[in-house]
Amino acid sequence: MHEDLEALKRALIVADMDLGIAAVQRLVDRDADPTWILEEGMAVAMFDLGEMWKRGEVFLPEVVASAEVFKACNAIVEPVLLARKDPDAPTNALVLLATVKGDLHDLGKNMVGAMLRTSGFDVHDLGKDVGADTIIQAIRQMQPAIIGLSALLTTTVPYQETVIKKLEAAGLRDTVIVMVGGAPVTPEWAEKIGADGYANNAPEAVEIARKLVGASQ
Amino acid sequence: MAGRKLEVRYEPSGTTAHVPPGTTLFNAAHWAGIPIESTCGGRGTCGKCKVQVLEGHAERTLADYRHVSGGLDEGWRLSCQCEIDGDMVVDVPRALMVPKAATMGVGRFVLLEPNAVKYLLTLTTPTIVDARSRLRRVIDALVIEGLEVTVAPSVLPRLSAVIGDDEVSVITATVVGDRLIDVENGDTTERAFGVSIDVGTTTVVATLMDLRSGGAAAVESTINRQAPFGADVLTRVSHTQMHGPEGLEQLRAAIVATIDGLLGSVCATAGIGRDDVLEVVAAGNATMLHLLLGVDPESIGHSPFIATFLEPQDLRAADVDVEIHPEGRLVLFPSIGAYVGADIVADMLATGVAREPVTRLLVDVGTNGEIVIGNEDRVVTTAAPAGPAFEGGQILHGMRATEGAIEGVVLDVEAGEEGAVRLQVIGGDVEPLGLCGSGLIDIVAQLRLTGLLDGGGMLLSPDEALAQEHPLASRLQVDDEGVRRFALTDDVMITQRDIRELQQAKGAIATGIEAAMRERGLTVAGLDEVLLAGSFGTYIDPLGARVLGLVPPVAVDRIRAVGNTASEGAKMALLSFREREVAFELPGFVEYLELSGVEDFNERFIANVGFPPLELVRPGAIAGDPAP
Ligand code: B12
Ligand code: FES
Repeated sequence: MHEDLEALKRALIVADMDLGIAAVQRLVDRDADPTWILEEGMAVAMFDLGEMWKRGEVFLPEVVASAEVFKACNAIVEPVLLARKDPDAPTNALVLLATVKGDLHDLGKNMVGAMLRTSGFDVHDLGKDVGADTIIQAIRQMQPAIIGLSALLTTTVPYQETVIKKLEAAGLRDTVIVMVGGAPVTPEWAEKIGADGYANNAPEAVEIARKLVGASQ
Repeated sequence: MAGRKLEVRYEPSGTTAHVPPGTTLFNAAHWAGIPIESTCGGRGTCGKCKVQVLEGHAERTLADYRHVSGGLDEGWRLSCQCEIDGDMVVDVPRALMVPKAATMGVGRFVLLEPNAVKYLLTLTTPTIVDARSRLRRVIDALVIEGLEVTVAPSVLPRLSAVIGDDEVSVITATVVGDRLIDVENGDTTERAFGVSIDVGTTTVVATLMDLRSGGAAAVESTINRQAPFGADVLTRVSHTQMHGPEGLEQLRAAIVATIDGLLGSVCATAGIGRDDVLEVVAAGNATMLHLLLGVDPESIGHSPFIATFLEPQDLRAADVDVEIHPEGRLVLFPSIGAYVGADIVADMLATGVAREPVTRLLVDVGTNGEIVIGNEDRVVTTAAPAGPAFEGGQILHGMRATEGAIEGVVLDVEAGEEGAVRLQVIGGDVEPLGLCGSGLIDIVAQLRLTGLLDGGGMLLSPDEALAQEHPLASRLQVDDEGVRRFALTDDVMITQRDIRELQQAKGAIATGIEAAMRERGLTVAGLDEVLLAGSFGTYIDPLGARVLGLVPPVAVDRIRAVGNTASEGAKMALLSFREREVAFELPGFVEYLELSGVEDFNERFIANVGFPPLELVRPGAIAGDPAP
């Protein structure tokens, strides 16, 4: 079974759909523990992919393709996992994502979403050009652990601060972790506006999200 | 100690600045007129503003650890983060001096019909029978020349000094458009000048044109003095957003000062006075033109990108502090959209894209890549947000095209290790300091052609290269963080991350081109010519651009660098009011495609960050390529 797990990891990294599906199917057929497949196999591969992204060894097309393979493989493992799952086990933390008002860049946010999904988070994407009111409404409705705000324009970055202020005014600030990101955003800015976390790229976003969620529990 | 000023001396120029404590080294330098490299406008993110503190105390900041890690002990700091809290001496690296800009002769045949003309008039001696007023005499004489003029009020007080009451008067009347703006004694018709200005976000170019001969009398270019506020248009917009009317006034004053400096120097070069300049015709992106007139560009900065004006403007130059003839005019080209500006309209005028049957693609490669495609039947334009990579931003050893920048690279695998990397450096025999945009395009294209870079944009690892016995294997390295890189010299590297930045920039432009071609209903086969415009376009190697997929795969000799066509277009409009009218009508003819609205943009962009297969783009791959 170890060869199959290795094959699955390789398939995820090089985004080989057929190889990935075949490997995960063989594992499931032979009754491998789905948690083991996910944690020792798929999560490890996605972590490695994240490290490769940071070094520039994979790029947008590769990561998008790998995320597709992940999705397909996950669709095979998940039912098995759910069937065996202890009903009392904690559920995945929910992350809301949005690109702020005035800003139409969503590639980076989507990438963050894909990586979070492949790392054990549930993700709900509010889309782009999203105003504070929509965000507040969504937080009230879905009670996420984290709200992630993306901004790619120097002129829309200040809106991240607007959102935080409105969260405070709505009395919601303490109920949700705020993460900010996007190319022009800096750690100093994140600190200045009182965000809880900042990440420079998608793999880092996963690390920080894990840390923040862990700390808040 | 309240109110005490601290002294900072900037080497090597020795200029000193006296500033209140807490001022950053970057701002103090800017106030003292010392240019420091920056693409982020002092936000601590670009890492370009490093200076070396020779004397005095300098705190280390987080940003320093991110960007200068190596040189901290030697006193290297990001000047924009370093607050002055005592007297200091710092060394500013030689970098941003006078930029290189392409300025070429009028490429098109323009009939001289300037909007500003001086007329030599001979007025008969007044008599008791012919007692017309002085003004009437001038107006009547101009009617004979075929002109019906209105009169600037400043002309009236001058008339009695110029026109006698008992003699024949020979005078020169200056008419701009249909307005009489001046009368002078004698014949001054040889002193009629205009200035064309290309107001770039980075570089501003002014050309003094002799309106009688149509020739250029002087050319000058300089860095836009708004540069310290940020490299691209949006950082400028954001400055007004954050600092309100004061910020707007700072930017307005900076661009006015830039233009004033240029006017001063072109006039000095040609040995003429400011009064001899009758008209200034300016082109530039919409934000620059807003700032020049003191109009807040705030709403250009975010969706839905509303400009306050896109229409052509014609105003008294003095009203906006542009010092030429007191009644001289400032004329602004119209823009097409918030991100396809007046400079592109000028490009179109100069290249004839909308006036000829030949189907052309015109690309102005820069932070914002403007794309124009079509012919006399129909033209589509769009703007592709490339980002700062082509100007050296976000590139580890990136720099602007100034002295010391590597602007050309050839990798010659036949030449053996020593001669294998051939560099062309701006300034000739100087030590290479970094890579400018054209050098960046060259090196990446060369890495592709020599098999060191795959189609996805990944460098070979040193081991892979060694295993292949690649002649350049020794140039491949891996840094402390495991990032691959290629060493151009011992000090100048191109890293895997740099290549990714370039891929994004070129991917955005390629996707813009693709979308505009689709909108225009064109395929590569239907393209007669590809024109690379803008001062940067002049230096791009056509083959390199093709190898990267920055431009569609057409024969190399169909890809032409056309230089600073925005300046050319502005000159044409200065020399011919008919050309000017043509330009002013272009926005009504051209269709604007908003990339944000292109449905499959993301998918296409992701596909286009990769490079085209070598067999489709390498030298000799396309019929019509020169023999290798
Ligand atoms: C693609 C692109 C577009 C596309 C966007 C498509 C889409 N659906 O996303 C289109 C064509 C629509 C577009 C339009 C515009 N763009 Co644009 N665009 C880009 C481009 C080329 C790439 C951005 C990108 O997607 N990168 C890839 C992703 C993966 O990286 P990323 O976004 O940085 O995301 C990573 C991190 O930042 C982080 N992250 C991102 N979000 C979040 C959120 C959280 C919570 C966390 C923790 C982390 C995180 O993780 C991500 C993955 O690692 C950049 C230039 C460049 N070279 O970067 C310009 C750029 C961002 N655009 C720019 C501009 C000016 C515009 C326009 C105003 C101009 C125009 N010509 O039309 C319009 C504005 C539209 C609007 N209102 O937003 C400028 C911004 C300049 C500035 N100083 O702010 C840039 C830098 C280019 C330039 N000209 O200088 N653009
Ligand atoms: S980092 Fe200092 S100016 Fe950009």
